[in-house]
Amino acid sequence: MSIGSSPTTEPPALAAASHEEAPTRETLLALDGMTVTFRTPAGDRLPLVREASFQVRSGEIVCLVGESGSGKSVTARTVMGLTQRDPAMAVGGRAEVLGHDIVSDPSVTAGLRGRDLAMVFQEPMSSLDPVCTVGTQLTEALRRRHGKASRQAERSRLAELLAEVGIVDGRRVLDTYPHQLSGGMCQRVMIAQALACAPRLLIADEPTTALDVTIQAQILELVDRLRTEEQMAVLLVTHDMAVAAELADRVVVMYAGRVVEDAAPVALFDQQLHPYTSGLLRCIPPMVDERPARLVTIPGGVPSPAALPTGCSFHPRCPHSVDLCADRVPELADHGGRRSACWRAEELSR
Amino acid sequence: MSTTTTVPGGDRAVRPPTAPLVRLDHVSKHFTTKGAGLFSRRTLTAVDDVSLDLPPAHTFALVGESGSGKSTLGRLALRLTEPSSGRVHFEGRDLTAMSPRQLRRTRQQMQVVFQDPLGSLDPRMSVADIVAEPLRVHRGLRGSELDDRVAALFEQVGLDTSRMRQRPKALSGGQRQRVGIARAIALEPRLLLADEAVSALDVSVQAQITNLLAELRERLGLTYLFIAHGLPVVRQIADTVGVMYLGRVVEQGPVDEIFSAPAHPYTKALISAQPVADPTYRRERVLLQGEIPSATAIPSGCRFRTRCPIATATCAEVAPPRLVSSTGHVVECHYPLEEVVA
Repeated sequence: MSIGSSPTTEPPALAAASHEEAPTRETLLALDGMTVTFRTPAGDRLPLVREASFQVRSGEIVCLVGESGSGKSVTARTVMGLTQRDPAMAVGGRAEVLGHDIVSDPSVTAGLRGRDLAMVFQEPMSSLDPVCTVGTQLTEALRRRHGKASRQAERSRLAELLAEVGIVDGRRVLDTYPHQLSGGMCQRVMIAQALACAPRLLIADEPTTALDVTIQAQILELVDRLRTEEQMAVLLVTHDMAVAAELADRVVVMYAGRVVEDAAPVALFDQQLHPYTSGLLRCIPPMVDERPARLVTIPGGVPSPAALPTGCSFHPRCPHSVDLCADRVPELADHGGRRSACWRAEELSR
Repeated sequence: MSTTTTVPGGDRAVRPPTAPLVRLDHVSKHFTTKGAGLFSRRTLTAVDDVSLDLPPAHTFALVGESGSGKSTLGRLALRLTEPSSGRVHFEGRDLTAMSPRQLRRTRQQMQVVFQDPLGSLDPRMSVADIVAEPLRVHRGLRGSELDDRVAALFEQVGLDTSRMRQRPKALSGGQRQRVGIARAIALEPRLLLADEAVSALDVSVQAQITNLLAELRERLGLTYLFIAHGLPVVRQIADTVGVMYLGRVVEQGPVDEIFSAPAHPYTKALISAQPVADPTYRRERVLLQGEIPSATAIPSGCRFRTRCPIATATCAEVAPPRLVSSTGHVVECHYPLEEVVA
């Protein structure tokens, strides 16, 4: 059973599901109160992700945004079944990936990765095998999905894939080793590798942060196309609100391990129901509008999970906080199709 | 047009012409790299015959993709890298002709803030010692005089003095960058090279550091050579923008002109590739094919022609003319998108 509450949710008959048919929005990732806790050597329990709840459906790009320390990368890694390998990490709540419960059995993700599930990490150098050529690694990914084909057919398909991520001399790159390539090039090889298996769900953690804007534009365009044409579902972790504005169907904002706001981009950029989101948007220097004399900043910094403020974690930095905010944690409440975890959301939106 | 925009420090764009603080005069830098064969060598042209002036109390931003040569040009401007040819003048004196001793003295006037504060701060020193070091070495300050000066610098960059005894590792990224800035301004330099100084920071911290840099420029009359790949920050802080492609500054001009009316197809493509934090914003996107070619094999004629959407046969044969307008807008293109007249 899927925990997705969407009425269009299909039973997770994964093998039989075909995405050529009319786009039925199938829930491919569903988090319901997922928590990730880190146990320090001293025995303290640090909450890295606190009751995260959101869904990603087929043909949908969900951008998970927030600053360093917000828990967005930990959320992405947990969904891939990677944090669970660390004995100091404990995962609780409910989380389903492609219909499989990954909290009770994280090992199921191993069978999904490289077929229906793919991930792009931030550090390409450590994610590629240094002793295999790019071609060998990409062929492996291609075969995992499509089976073995003739060498010529495989190479031309891979060169095509590399061209799609902006690598022009793909055939040459196939014969190189990762150390012979630049960081940006490796990052694109990683993206090509993730896409070679035609995943139904792509988890991408800051995939374009290290790349030039020109290359970023090419890759975002490609991801956008795969979402539309192949109904690929994407969880895109990014710190860049502008990327979210361009690409996302939904934007999920995290702060100090908690989802604080969740809305469609047009609604979110028009009006924020959480002061943290407003703050994040106001610090971005404008590209089109008149430049402010000074950029607006959020005072202070993101709290450490070892010293979280009481009540709403954002209240010490919040310009609108009242006594209640320091006392009680606000629930992530529904506000007409969007959600906000702020005691004063209704009041401030008026 | 640029004079009507509200910018820190009022009308920065209108300024009487003054002698440049830094002048690059036909500066080139070539590196030799390994070729295909065992003994073959290839020449990589990182910076190709660049001439430009940095006026005092001005922010000159260099933008461009990785591999465009912007960091090398920044290092050449401080003679941190020896130019292969050309001259670099600082306050009218030729840096490239200086003896090591003269250079050391002049260098106090020019400082650098790097991208990675953790990599550029000694992990075993307290942050107060890091800021104090240049003052002890170059100014010979000791005791309470030194302590007072360090405390004043901490205050100037917005760092809590209770942090002074901590190691860089104990600070956040933003605080570490503030330490790097405090160290850089300790000797009251005139020129600050900020090489991707705000690029790795979270947006809210990036805004804080950008504001700090703008504030220090006004207060101390600093000149910035600001290297960044993030265009919104450049638009916020720069007076003049230079756009680099394969070792050349292909377009240069007042920040508002560059962003609102780019004349070089590359500049236009670069700006149009920058995501805008507004989901309702629609723009004409110029999607560039492929990537920047290798600097060991720079295309003939116009170096951008292999990716240019409007290139013709002429572009492959003839190097583009250098067009200069009265506002100081410079573009190297056979077919500029905006009229640039002398």
